[in-house]
Amino acid sequence: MIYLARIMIYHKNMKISIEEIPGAREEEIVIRCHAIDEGIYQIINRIKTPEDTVIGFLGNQIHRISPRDVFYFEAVDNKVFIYTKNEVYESKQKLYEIEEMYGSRFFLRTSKSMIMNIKKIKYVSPAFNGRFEACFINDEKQIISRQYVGALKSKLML
Amino acid sequence: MTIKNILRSMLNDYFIICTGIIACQLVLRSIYAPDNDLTLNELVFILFGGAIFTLPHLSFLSNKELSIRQWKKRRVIHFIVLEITVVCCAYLFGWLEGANLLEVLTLMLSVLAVYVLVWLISWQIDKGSSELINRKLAEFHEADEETANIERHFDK
Repeated sequence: MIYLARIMIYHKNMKISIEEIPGAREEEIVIRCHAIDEGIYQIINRIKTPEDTVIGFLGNQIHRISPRDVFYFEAVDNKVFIYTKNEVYESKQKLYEIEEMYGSRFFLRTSKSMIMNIKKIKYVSPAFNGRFEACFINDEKQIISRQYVGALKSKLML
Repeated sequence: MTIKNILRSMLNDYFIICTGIIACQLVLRSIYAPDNDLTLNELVFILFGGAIFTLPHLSFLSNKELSIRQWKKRRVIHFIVLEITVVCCAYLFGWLEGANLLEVLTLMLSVLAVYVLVWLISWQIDKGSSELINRKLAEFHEADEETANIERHFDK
Protein backbone atom coordinates (compact mmCIF):
# COMPACT_ATOMS: atom_id res chain seq x y z
CA MET A 1 0.00 0.00 0.00
CA ILE A 2 1.49 3.36 -1.02
CA TYR A 3 0.38 6.40 0.92
CA LEU A 4 0.20 9.15 -1.64
CA ALA A 5 -1.12 12.35 -0.13
CA ARG A 6 -3.64 13.94 2.18
CA ILE A 7 -6.09 16.11 0.25
CA MET A 8 -9.13 18.28 0.81
CA ILE A 9 -11.74 16.98 -1.58
CA TYR A 10 -15.34 18.22 -1.53
CA HIS A 11 -14.64 19.64 1.93
CA LYS A 12 -13.43 16.32 3.29
CA ASN A 13 -9.88 15.98 4.52
CA MET A 14 -9.00 12.53 3.20
CA LYS A 15 -5.98 10.38 2.81
CA ILE A 16 -5.27 8.89 -0.62
CA SER A 17 -3.68 5.45 -0.66
CA ILE A 18 -2.95 3.25 -3.64
CA GLU A 19 -2.36 -0.47 -3.47
CA GLU A 20 -0.81 -2.33 -6.36
CA ILE A 21 -2.48 -5.74 -6.82
CA PRO A 22 -1.73 -8.80 -8.96
CA GLY A 23 -3.24 -8.84 -12.44
CA ALA A 24 -5.66 -11.64 -11.48
CA ARG A 25 -7.48 -9.48 -8.97
CA GLU A 26 -10.16 -7.02 -10.07
CA GLU A 27 -9.23 -3.35 -9.82
CA GLU A 28 -11.49 -1.41 -7.47
CA ILE A 29 -11.94 1.86 -5.65
CA VAL A 30 -12.74 1.58 -1.94
CA ILE A 31 -13.81 4.66 0.00
CA ARG A 32 -13.33 4.42 3.76
CA CYS A 33 -15.45 7.08 5.45
CA HIS A 34 -17.12 7.87 8.76
CA ALA A 35 -20.52 8.40 7.14
CA ILE A 36 -21.94 8.49 3.61
CA ASP A 37 -22.71 12.19 3.36
CA GLU A 38 -23.02 14.76 0.58
CA GLY A 39 -19.24 15.01 0.23
CA ILE A 40 -18.96 11.26 -0.37
CA TYR A 41 -21.73 11.37 -2.99
CA GLN A 42 -19.88 14.19 -4.74
CA ILE A 43 -16.67 12.13 -4.80
CA ILE A 44 -18.60 9.14 -6.23
CA ASN A 45 -20.20 11.36 -8.88
CA ARG A 46 -16.80 12.75 -9.77
CA ILE A 47 -15.36 9.26 -10.21
CA LYS A 48 -18.35 8.04 -12.23
CA THR A 49 -18.56 11.09 -14.52
CA PRO A 50 -15.98 11.04 -17.28
CA GLU A 51 -14.14 14.30 -17.99
CA ASP A 52 -16.53 16.15 -20.29
CA THR A 53 -15.88 19.04 -22.58
CA VAL A 54 -17.65 22.24 -23.44
CA ILE A 55 -18.13 23.03 -27.10
CA GLY A 56 -17.13 26.57 -28.02
CA PHE A 57 -17.23 28.32 -31.38
CA LEU A 58 -14.54 30.74 -32.47
CA GLY A 59 -15.50 32.07 -35.88
CA ASN A 60 -15.99 28.98 -38.04
CA GLN A 61 -13.87 26.79 -35.80
CA ILE A 62 -15.29 24.40 -33.23
CA HIS A 63 -13.26 23.95 -30.05
CA ARG A 64 -13.51 21.37 -27.27
CA ILE A 65 -12.80 23.14 -24.00
CA SER A 66 -12.21 21.48 -20.66
CA PRO A 67 -14.57 22.93 -18.00
CA ARG A 68 -11.46 23.35 -15.82
CA ASP A 69 -10.19 26.00 -18.26
CA VAL A 70 -13.40 28.02 -18.24
CA PHE A 71 -13.37 31.16 -16.09
CA TYR A 72 -17.03 32.02 -16.57
CA PHE A 73 -20.03 31.80 -18.90
CA GLU A 74 -21.88 34.99 -19.71
CA ALA A 75 -25.14 35.64 -21.53
CA VAL A 76 -25.10 38.83 -23.59
CA ASP A 77 -27.99 39.76 -25.91
CA ASN A 78 -29.36 36.21 -26.12
CA LYS A 79 -25.91 34.76 -26.85
CA VAL A 80 -23.81 32.79 -24.39
CA PHE A 81 -20.04 33.28 -24.30
CA ILE A 82 -17.37 31.11 -22.71
CA TYR A 83 -14.47 33.02 -21.18
CA THR A 84 -11.14 31.24 -20.81
CA LYS A 85 -7.72 32.68 -19.95
CA ASN A 86 -6.92 33.84 -23.48
CA GLU A 87 -10.04 33.34 -25.60
CA VAL A 88 -13.76 34.10 -25.68
CA TYR A 89 -15.82 31.41 -27.39
CA GLU A 90 -19.49 31.41 -28.25
CA SER A 91 -21.67 28.62 -26.95
CA LYS A 92 -24.82 27.34 -28.58
CA GLN A 93 -26.20 26.26 -25.22
CA LYS A 94 -28.47 28.33 -23.02
CA LEU A 95 -27.17 29.56 -19.70
CA TYR A 96 -29.72 27.47 -17.75
CA GLU A 97 -28.60 24.34 -19.65
CA ILE A 98 -24.97 25.06 -18.70
CA GLU A 99 -26.08 25.59 -15.10
CA GLU A 100 -27.89 22.23 -15.12
CA MET A 101 -24.84 20.47 -16.58
CA TYR A 102 -22.10 21.96 -14.44
CA GLY A 103 -23.94 23.50 -11.48
CA SER A 104 -23.32 20.48 -9.26
CA ARG A 105 -19.55 20.83 -9.71
CA PHE A 106 -17.44 23.94 -9.24
CA PHE A 107 -19.63 26.19 -11.36
CA LEU A 108 -22.07 28.56 -9.77
CA ARG A 109 -24.69 31.02 -11.01
CA THR A 110 -23.52 34.42 -9.75
CA SER A 111 -25.95 36.75 -11.52
CA LYS A 112 -28.87 36.60 -13.93
CA SER A 113 -26.43 36.47 -16.83
CA MET A 114 -23.33 34.75 -15.43
CA ILE A 115 -22.02 31.38 -14.22
CA MET A 116 -18.57 31.44 -12.63
CA ASN A 117 -15.95 28.77 -12.05
CA ILE A 118 -15.21 28.98 -8.32
CA LYS A 119 -11.78 27.45 -8.85
CA LYS A 120 -10.78 30.41 -10.99
CA ILE A 121 -11.76 33.01 -8.38
CA LYS A 122 -8.72 34.36 -6.54
CA TYR A 123 -10.65 36.38 -3.97
CA VAL A 124 -13.87 38.33 -3.44
CA SER A 125 -14.30 41.84 -2.06
CA PRO A 126 -17.42 43.74 -0.97
CA ALA A 127 -19.10 45.66 -3.79
CA PHE A 128 -21.85 47.58 -1.96
CA ASN A 129 -25.34 46.52 -0.96
CA GLY A 130 -24.55 42.90 -0.18
CA ARG A 131 -22.92 42.27 -3.55
CA PHE A 132 -19.37 41.04 -4.03
CA GLU A 133 -16.75 41.52 -6.68
CA ALA A 134 -14.94 38.35 -7.72
CA CYS A 135 -11.34 38.74 -8.83
CA PHE A 136 -10.23 35.90 -11.11
CA ILE A 137 -6.73 34.47 -11.27
CA ASN A 138 -6.09 36.58 -14.39
CA ASP A 139 -7.09 39.68 -12.35
CA GLU A 140 -10.36 40.15 -14.26
CA LYS A 141 -13.22 41.28 -12.03
CA GLN A 142 -16.92 40.46 -12.17
CA ILE A 143 -19.85 41.16 -9.86
CA ILE A 144 -21.62 38.49 -7.79
CA SER A 145 -25.26 39.52 -7.29
CA ARG A 146 -26.68 39.81 -3.81
CA GLN A 147 -29.25 37.03 -4.34
CA TYR A 148 -26.53 34.52 -5.36
CA VAL A 149 -24.15 35.18 -2.44
CA GLY A 150 -26.07 32.62 -0.32
CA ALA A 151 -25.54 29.96 -3.00
CA LEU A 152 -21.80 30.75 -3.07
CA LYS A 153 -21.60 30.36 0.70
CA SER A 154 -23.48 27.03 0.50
CA LYS A 155 -21.13 25.82 -2.23
CA LEU A 156 -18.17 26.66 -0.01
CA MET A 157 -19.94 25.01 2.97
CA LEU A 158 -20.17 28.27 4.93
CA MET B 1 -31.20 45.84 -9.94
CA THR B 2 -34.27 44.61 -11.76
CA ILE B 3 -37.72 46.06 -11.01
CA LYS B 4 -38.62 42.90 -9.07
CA ASN B 5 -35.57 43.28 -6.80
CA ILE B 6 -36.14 47.02 -6.43
CA LEU B 7 -39.78 46.49 -5.36
CA ARG B 8 -38.70 43.81 -2.90
CA SER B 9 -36.02 46.12 -1.50
CA MET B 10 -38.49 49.05 -1.33
CA LEU B 11 -41.03 46.96 0.54
CA ASN B 12 -38.36 45.73 2.94
CA ASP B 13 -37.11 49.27 3.56
CA TYR B 14 -40.66 50.62 3.91
CA PHE B 15 -41.28 48.40 6.92
CA ILE B 16 -37.85 49.20 8.39
CA ILE B 17 -38.43 52.97 7.99
CA CYS B 18 -41.94 52.87 9.50
CA THR B 19 -40.81 50.69 12.41
CA GLY B 20 -37.74 52.91 12.94
CA ILE B 21 -39.77 56.14 12.99
CA ILE B 22 -42.34 54.67 15.40
CA ALA B 23 -39.56 53.33 17.68
CA CYS B 24 -37.82 56.76 17.66
CA GLN B 25 -41.14 58.47 18.40
CA LEU B 26 -41.71 56.09 21.31
CA VAL B 27 -38.27 56.76 22.83
CA LEU B 28 -38.19 60.54 22.24
CA ARG B 29 -41.79 61.16 23.32
CA SER B 30 -41.32 59.00 26.42
CA ILE B 31 -38.37 61.18 27.41
CA TYR B 32 -39.34 64.69 26.24
CA ALA B 33 -43.13 64.67 25.88
CA PRO B 34 -44.73 61.78 27.80
CA ASP B 35 -48.19 63.38 27.60
CA ASN B 36 -48.00 63.97 23.84
CA ASP B 37 -49.55 60.89 22.17
CA LEU B 38 -49.24 60.03 18.48
CA THR B 39 -52.28 61.38 16.63
CA LEU B 40 -54.07 59.67 13.77
CA ASN B 41 -52.69 62.28 11.35
CA GLU B 42 -49.12 61.66 12.52
CA LEU B 43 -49.55 57.93 11.98
CA VAL B 44 -50.81 58.58 8.44
CA PHE B 45 -47.75 60.81 7.85
CA ILE B 46 -45.41 58.05 9.04
CA LEU B 47 -47.02 55.44 6.79
CA PHE B 48 -47.20 57.84 3.84
CA GLY B 49 -43.67 59.25 4.45
CA GLY B 50 -42.22 55.72 4.68
CA ALA B 51 -43.57 55.00 1.18
CA ILE B 52 -42.19 58.28 -0.22
CA PHE B 53 -38.72 57.72 1.27
CA THR B 54 -38.40 54.37 -0.50
CA LEU B 55 -39.04 55.93 -3.94
CA PRO B 56 -35.39 57.09 -4.45
CA HIS B 57 -34.54 53.36 -4.64
CA LEU B 58 -35.71 53.56 -8.24
CA SER B 59 -32.38 55.25 -9.05
CA PHE B 60 -30.79 51.77 -8.87
CA LEU B 61 -33.08 50.40 -11.59
CA SER B 62 -31.09 48.55 -14.26
CA ASN B 63 -31.58 45.47 -16.42
CA LYS B 64 -27.91 44.55 -16.10
CA GLU B 65 -25.79 44.06 -13.01
CA LEU B 66 -24.28 47.46 -12.17
CA SER B 67 -20.49 47.75 -12.04
CA ILE B 68 -18.91 49.26 -8.90
CA ARG B 69 -18.36 52.56 -10.73
CA GLN B 70 -22.01 52.69 -11.91
CA TRP B 71 -23.15 51.71 -8.41
CA LYS B 72 -21.21 54.58 -6.83
CA LYS B 73 -22.79 57.07 -9.28
CA ARG B 74 -26.28 55.73 -8.56
CA ARG B 75 -25.54 55.84 -4.83
CA VAL B 76 -24.72 59.58 -5.06
CA ILE B 77 -27.90 60.17 -7.10
CA HIS B 78 -29.89 58.16 -4.55
CA PHE B 79 -28.50 60.21 -1.68
CA ILE B 80 -29.24 63.56 -3.37
CA VAL B 81 -32.80 62.49 -4.28
CA LEU B 82 -33.32 61.21 -0.73
CA GLU B 83 -32.11 64.50 0.80
CA ILE B 84 -34.45 66.49 -1.49
CA THR B 85 -37.36 64.14 -0.65
CA VAL B 86 -36.76 64.46 3.10
CA VAL B 87 -36.49 68.29 2.97
CA CYS B 88 -39.61 68.54 0.76
CA CYS B 89 -41.57 66.24 3.11
CA ALA B 90 -40.34 68.25 6.09
CA TYR B 91 -41.76 71.42 4.51
CA LEU B 92 -45.00 69.78 3.39
CA PHE B 93 -45.72 68.06 6.70
CA GLY B 94 -44.56 71.01 8.81
CA TRP B 95 -41.69 69.19 10.54
CA LEU B 96 -39.53 72.32 10.30
CA GLU B 97 -41.00 74.78 12.75
CA GLY B 98 -38.94 77.87 11.91
CA ALA B 99 -38.07 76.76 8.36
CA ASN B 100 -34.74 78.55 8.53
CA LEU B 101 -31.51 77.50 6.81
CA LEU B 102 -29.88 76.18 10.00
CA GLU B 103 -32.81 73.86 10.64
CA VAL B 104 -32.74 72.58 7.05
CA LEU B 105 -28.97 72.01 7.29
CA THR B 106 -29.38 70.16 10.60
CA LEU B 107 -31.99 67.90 9.02
CA MET B 108 -29.78 67.27 5.96
CA LEU B 109 -26.77 66.49 8.18
CA SER B 110 -28.89 64.09 10.25
CA VAL B 111 -29.88 62.25 7.06
CA LEU B 112 -26.20 62.17 5.99
CA ALA B 113 -25.14 60.80 9.39
CA VAL B 114 -27.75 58.00 9.31
CA TYR B 115 -26.89 57.25 5.66
CA VAL B 116 -23.15 56.96 6.38
CA LEU B 117 -23.78 54.90 9.54
CA VAL B 118 -26.02 52.40 7.71
CA TRP B 119 -23.46 52.19 4.87
CA LEU B 120 -20.59 51.58 7.31
CA ILE B 121 -22.50 48.84 9.15
CA SER B 122 -23.43 47.06 5.92
CA TRP B 123 -19.83 47.44 4.65
CA GLN B 124 -18.50 45.83 7.83
CA ILE B 125 -20.96 42.93 7.51
CA ASP B 126 -19.97 42.42 3.84
CA LYS B 127 -16.27 42.65 4.72
CA GLY B 128 -16.70 39.90 7.34
CA SER B 129 -18.53 37.72 4.80
CA SER B 130 -15.86 38.30 2.15
CA GLU B 131 -13.10 37.29 4.60
CA LEU B 132 -14.94 34.03 5.36
CA ILE B 133 -15.48 33.34 1.66
CA ASN B 134 -11.81 34.08 0.89
CA ARG B 135 -10.66 31.69 3.59
CA LYS B 136 -12.78 28.91 2.07
CA LEU B 137 -11.62 29.83 -1.44
CA ALA B 138 -8.01 29.50 -0.27
CA GLU B 139 -8.79 26.00 1.07
CA PHE B 140 -10.43 25.20 -2.27
CA HIS B 141 -7.35 26.30 -4.21
CA GLU B 142 -5.06 24.41 -1.85
CA ALA B 143 -7.06 21.20 -2.45
CA ASP B 144 -7.02 21.85 -6.19
CA GLU B 145 -3.25 22.30 -6.17
CA GLU B 146 -2.80 19.03 -4.27
CA THR B 147 -5.09 17.22 -6.74
CA ALA B 148 -3.03 18.68 -9.60
CA ASN B 149 0.14 17.42 -7.89
CA ILE B 150 -1.33 13.91 -7.69
CA GLU B 151 -2.29 14.08 -11.38
CA ARG B 152 1.25 15.22 -12.23
CA HIS B 153 2.57 12.28 -10.17
CA PHE B 154 0.54 9.86 -12.33
CA ASP B 155 1.56 11.58 -15.56
CA LYS B 156 5.27 10.90 -14.87
